[in-house]
Amino acid sequence: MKEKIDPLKRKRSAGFSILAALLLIGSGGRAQQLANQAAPENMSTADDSLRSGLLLQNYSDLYPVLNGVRTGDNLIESTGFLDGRKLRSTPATFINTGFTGRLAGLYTHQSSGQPGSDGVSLSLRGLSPLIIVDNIPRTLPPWSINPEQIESVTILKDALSTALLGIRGMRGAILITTRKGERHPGFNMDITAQAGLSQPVELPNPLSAYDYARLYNEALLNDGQSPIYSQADLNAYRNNSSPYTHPNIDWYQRILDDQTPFNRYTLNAEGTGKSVHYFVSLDYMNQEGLFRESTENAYSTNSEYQRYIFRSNVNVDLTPRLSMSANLFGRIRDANEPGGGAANIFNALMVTPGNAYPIFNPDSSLGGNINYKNNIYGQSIRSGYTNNVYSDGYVDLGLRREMDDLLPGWWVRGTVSYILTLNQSINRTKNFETFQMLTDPATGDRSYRRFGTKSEQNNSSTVSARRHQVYAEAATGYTRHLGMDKLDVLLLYNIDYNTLNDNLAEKYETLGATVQYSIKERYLLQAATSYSGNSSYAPGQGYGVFPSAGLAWNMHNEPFFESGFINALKLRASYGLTGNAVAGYFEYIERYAGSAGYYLGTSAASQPGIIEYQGRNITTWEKAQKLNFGMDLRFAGSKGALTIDYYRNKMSDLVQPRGSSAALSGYGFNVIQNLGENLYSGLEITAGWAERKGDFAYAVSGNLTVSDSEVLFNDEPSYPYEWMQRTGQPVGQYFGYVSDGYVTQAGGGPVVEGYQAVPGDLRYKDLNDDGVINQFDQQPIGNQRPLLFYGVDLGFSWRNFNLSLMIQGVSNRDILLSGSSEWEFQNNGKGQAWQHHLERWTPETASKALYPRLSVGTNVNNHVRSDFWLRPASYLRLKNAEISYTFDDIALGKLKVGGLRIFLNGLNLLTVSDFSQSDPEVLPGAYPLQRVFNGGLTIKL
Amino acid sequence: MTMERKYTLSLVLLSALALGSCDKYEQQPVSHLTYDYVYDETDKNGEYARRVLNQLYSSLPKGYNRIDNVVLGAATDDAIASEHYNNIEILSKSRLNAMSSNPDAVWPQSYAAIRQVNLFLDHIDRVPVDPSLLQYWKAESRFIRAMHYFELIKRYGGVPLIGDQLFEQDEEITIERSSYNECVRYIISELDSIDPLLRPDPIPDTELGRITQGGAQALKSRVLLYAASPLNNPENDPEKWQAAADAALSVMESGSFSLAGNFAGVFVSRKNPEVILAYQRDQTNDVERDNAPIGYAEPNQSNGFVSPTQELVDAFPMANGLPIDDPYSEYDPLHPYDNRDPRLSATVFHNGSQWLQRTVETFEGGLDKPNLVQRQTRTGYYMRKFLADFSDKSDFSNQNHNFIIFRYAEILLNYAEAVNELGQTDLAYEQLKLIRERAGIEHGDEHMYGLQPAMTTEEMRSAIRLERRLEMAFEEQRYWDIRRWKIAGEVANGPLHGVQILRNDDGTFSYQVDEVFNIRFTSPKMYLYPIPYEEIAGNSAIDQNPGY
Repeated sequence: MKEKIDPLKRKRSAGFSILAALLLIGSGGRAQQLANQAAPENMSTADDSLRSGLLLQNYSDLYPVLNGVRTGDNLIESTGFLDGRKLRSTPATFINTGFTGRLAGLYTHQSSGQPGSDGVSLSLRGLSPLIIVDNIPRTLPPWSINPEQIESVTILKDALSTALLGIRGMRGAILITTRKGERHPGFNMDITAQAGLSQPVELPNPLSAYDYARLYNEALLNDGQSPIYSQADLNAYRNNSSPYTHPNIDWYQRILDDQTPFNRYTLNAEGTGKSVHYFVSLDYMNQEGLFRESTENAYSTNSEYQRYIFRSNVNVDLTPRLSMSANLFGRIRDANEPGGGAANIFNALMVTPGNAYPIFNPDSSLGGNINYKNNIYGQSIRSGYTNNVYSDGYVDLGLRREMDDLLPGWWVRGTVSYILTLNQSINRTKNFETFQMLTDPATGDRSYRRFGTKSEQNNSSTVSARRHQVYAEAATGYTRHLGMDKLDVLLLYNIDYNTLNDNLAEKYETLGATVQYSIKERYLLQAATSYSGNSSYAPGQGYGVFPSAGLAWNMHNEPFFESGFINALKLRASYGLTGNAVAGYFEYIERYAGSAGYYLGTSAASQPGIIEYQGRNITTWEKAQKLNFGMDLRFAGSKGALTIDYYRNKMSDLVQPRGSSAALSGYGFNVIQNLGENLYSGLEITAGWAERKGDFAYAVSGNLTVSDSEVLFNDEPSYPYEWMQRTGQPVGQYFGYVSDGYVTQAGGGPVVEGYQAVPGDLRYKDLNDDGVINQFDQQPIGNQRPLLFYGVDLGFSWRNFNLSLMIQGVSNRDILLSGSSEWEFQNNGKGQAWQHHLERWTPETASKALYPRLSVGTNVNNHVRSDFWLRPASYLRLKNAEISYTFDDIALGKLKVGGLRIFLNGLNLLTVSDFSQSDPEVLPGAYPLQRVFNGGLTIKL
Repeated sequence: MTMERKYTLSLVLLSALALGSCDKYEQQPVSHLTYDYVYDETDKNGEYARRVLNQLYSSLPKGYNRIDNVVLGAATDDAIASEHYNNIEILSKSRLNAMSSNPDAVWPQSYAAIRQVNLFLDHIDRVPVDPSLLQYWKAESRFIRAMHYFELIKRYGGVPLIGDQLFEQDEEITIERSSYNECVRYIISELDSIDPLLRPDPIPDTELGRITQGGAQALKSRVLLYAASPLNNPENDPEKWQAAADAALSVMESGSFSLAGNFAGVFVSRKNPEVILAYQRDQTNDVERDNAPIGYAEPNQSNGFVSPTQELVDAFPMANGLPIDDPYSEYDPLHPYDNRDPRLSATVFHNGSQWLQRTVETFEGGLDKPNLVQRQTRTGYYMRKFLADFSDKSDFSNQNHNFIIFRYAEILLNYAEAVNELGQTDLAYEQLKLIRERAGIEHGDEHMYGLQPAMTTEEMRSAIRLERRLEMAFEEQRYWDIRRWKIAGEVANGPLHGVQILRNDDGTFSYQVDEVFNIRFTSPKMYLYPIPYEEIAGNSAIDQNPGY
């Protein structure tokens, strides 16, 4: 750890060129520059080309880890590394979309495609990781930034790598390092302009009004009720002969556009002067939403997302031994939404049948009726808009002094950081009226019945959240070579105040130390520990010690090792205790809180009430004992590389509801306390190969993760049947009935207790043979195998052409279908029905029915959790692809530029899944996943 | 100073500033209402302690559309839910088991309330309020605790009695259930001891809604009546009936209460001589919006959640007091709602009722039963009881909608039932006549209000049960009555009916009674609720009720 603050200078080696040639995407002129440097003699090591998504640790390049950098040879920790340039080919708002499939151990899931809310959720070895930017933990991760500012992403997976995070190390961490500017002399600037189109990957398939009405009648008959649509009604729906009384509307088509534009402009500059090096980035992005707009409004009612970013990272060598760094970041995100709310409108699109009401009545008022008072067109066009502005900014200041004038190998460092985040909501919504047209059967006169009340447009604003964070750290380190051995010591103290709105600051405090000893570069020993705490626990309960240790063996540095097919081999192991603070906000203080009051006296005077606040009974932090074994291998003249990690994390004191708590105590059921024990284990494999043949070069890297979990203890009641036990099952295992075909005769079964079945109802297995189906017949349903996910990254280059493909997939994944997107006529019969309901059970189709008989409303027998509604949802996606061409020095008129690169890329291009009803990640009812086609050019000046 | 020192110093200062600015804050939030704040030893007004008591009041039982938008009566032969698959069907279809969610579960809620009372009693002596006020407060909170025990035992049978105990959150608990009779004895002893400590009736206007001595006596009357009923008194011990009769009589003899003049008005007034204890609510129109017929436009859009049955409608006698199947009743099947007991029209909306300046149309295709895709009556009736009179108003306005927990009419019926079981039929007659007179039933030549003369105890029992059903419909009485009488297996187990009304071309109507719902009562297990599975898991000393 003797290296200086800019750790990455050494990796700009000649060997870097292949990576540039093969995998660089959207990185501006430097790609071309580096591609030109590529020469056959440099091909012997393919290190850099494999670096992305593949951490090969057996060489001397430096990797960012917590509080510094390490050479690959010195890494004992289990980590994963992603070069920031890999993120630039992904045309998405959130940089973490680019993580998908690229890092072993990190599972991503995207649940919405709405601009500004389309990030992925991250799960690192089963838990949501802590996000650290430039060594400072961030409560609100800045995912929505331009990828050009990212130097690298490191994931910290085991106990040793997170030891100095103390009480917040258990969840693992993602360390983001921003670009600090090249350290070789000169000045680089590049400008990128890109524009694209995004379109929904898949929209749900509702029934036409005719099919809807026909099936509705059938469902009513099934339920023993009379049909409500006459043959004349059905004909009118089929022929569209009376659009005002018998509308047939494809809401998705009427409310949404097919596609929507996206564009982004970036300027990056970096350079090095005599004693200064810097990186500056400016970025503007605009992503339009899918909602159609109308000229009747002077404002936008689309869900638009605009973003402005400024970053400036400056490092100054104040004196030969003293250097200072200043990172400034500012960002404004401006998210517009129709007044009806994008999420509400997507929900309305899902639950509103095509025959619900006409958009407009003959008198051009908005249609509506007693069941559907809220016209979707009105929600999207005539409800005004809301505007959320998120502003944040931060300043990191660091000062580092080499103390080798006093003691060779000694340094000290101080860091402070201040972050402010402000969310402001501007409400310019308004309400509209809808009308139902009524025709007098005798006279034919029309009258209109009104629903809702019109209102003037609001104009108000609120600051919905204000957060600030103050962080300060002091660190000192010492490195000493003792002959062939080496000692590295680091000691640090940091304190972190996070304040939300009017709350008192939540304080984290950590004192930590790590010692690494390397014997002849063969044997590495490392111990780290921290004393760390959180202020929200009761006094005396919030601080603990989190020790860990690891060792590694660099076999290739042994005298006996002969480099053959295998060029390098390292074995590693680590073990440690980690913690996760979950105290809440001063939950431990016994107190009263506001509650329901009462009305006393003849005047009905309101009397406020207060009640004992029964907080979560949390006395300690969650804990995990983490064990990790790893192996790093390099072979075939270092063209190939392989890393394997196995982990076993045993967690305890997890905050969970107590299964066996007597409500007699007055605390209700499910008292929340530290009790759960889970075991997470898994295998992570990353492999890669890179090679150049003449003008042609290629690189392949892939990763595979097998992630398993088991509930060891959750204090559940002892159930009468073993199949009801959650203990021993994977964490989050689905439980439900086991379906057993369809009921064939009225009153048949077994069906849910108290339910009188008709033919076509689902029948269930009566596990305990008591004649009825109830909770005692619920067992684990669906997949119990470990989750498996993988990614394959392919890069090809031929002369100045580059092509990259990112393929990603998930296996052993289930979706449990429920609600209006799956079941017919929900919401008391007002809900939608779908194409898949055409495959329903009827007496004629009994043998090949794929869906139970239809009913109106939520059927207590059929519409309950059972394996019938569980679908395997494994998938394989062509997540990201890019093709580019780089021109060498080129003259644009009189302007001579250093290089020009043109590129086309895309996101979510192709999906193969055994789940056919919708996209396997973003389910119907949410803003759909977007497929993006994007193109642009980068000019290097 | 060298350059280096300057830089270092300025940065050190800067960090000191950043850190220093944080330490000025308190280490724990001062805004929290800690116990010392709430039970303030210096607050003569007991400002926060009073709020604790307000919250305890808010835990009293309240009815109206409390179970998935419908009244508890929708799980009896009186009504059904207008929505198919409403959660009330868990009760009306006997779908309850120990692990399913019980829409009428009170176990955790009542014990939570009991804990809050115990906390209050444990701390309140520290607050230096006026001793007489302190006495009232403590007695009121003990009444609320007794009420919760009664709510528990009528659902679960005997339950664990925990007295004044307070438990820790992670305490292991093993407490057995006390027997039903032990629980009754505990409740009665509590009520007897707080009776003299409570405010006397009538209560001043400013304190209206507080629990009074009348409230304690009324609860005692109900508890003892339930304890004497067949479900809980299988050996038919007359002493239990005597105790029930005495308890009702003491309310009657207090002279503090009387029947109000207008039946329908009882439910929409705050201050009323008939009301002994009511759950006090704000003035609202939610009860109208939940229950009135569906065919009205904004701003009077209503939901019609409850569909009363033909069985209930047919149970109402004629205005002359005779049952509709009596040969002398003058019942006209072509005009089935004419000349009926006035309580019928005050209890249900039927075709032709008046509401918001028009007649209610529950005929097929009528405004209030349009047979379109929507929630509407399934029986041809909507619930009208508890609604203010908006017959000739154009729009809803906020009204008093306290939910009555005890009213004088119940006391009379409690008394009639108990004395009849003791063979004193004549005393029972008196009460029924009082109630029928107030209902607006004609007294007739014999001043019998349509009651059969010289009824046997059995005949009188039926008459009292009928009167209780009509008078107390939807007041959360019948659901429990048919259980304690052990008749649920007969009356709430089979088809329930509604009426299909066709409008003829000449404007007249024809009526056809249809089966609309099949109510099920699994006997005997549904006489008591299952104790939640989690409770048995958490307290190994608890035994489950039979059949679960």
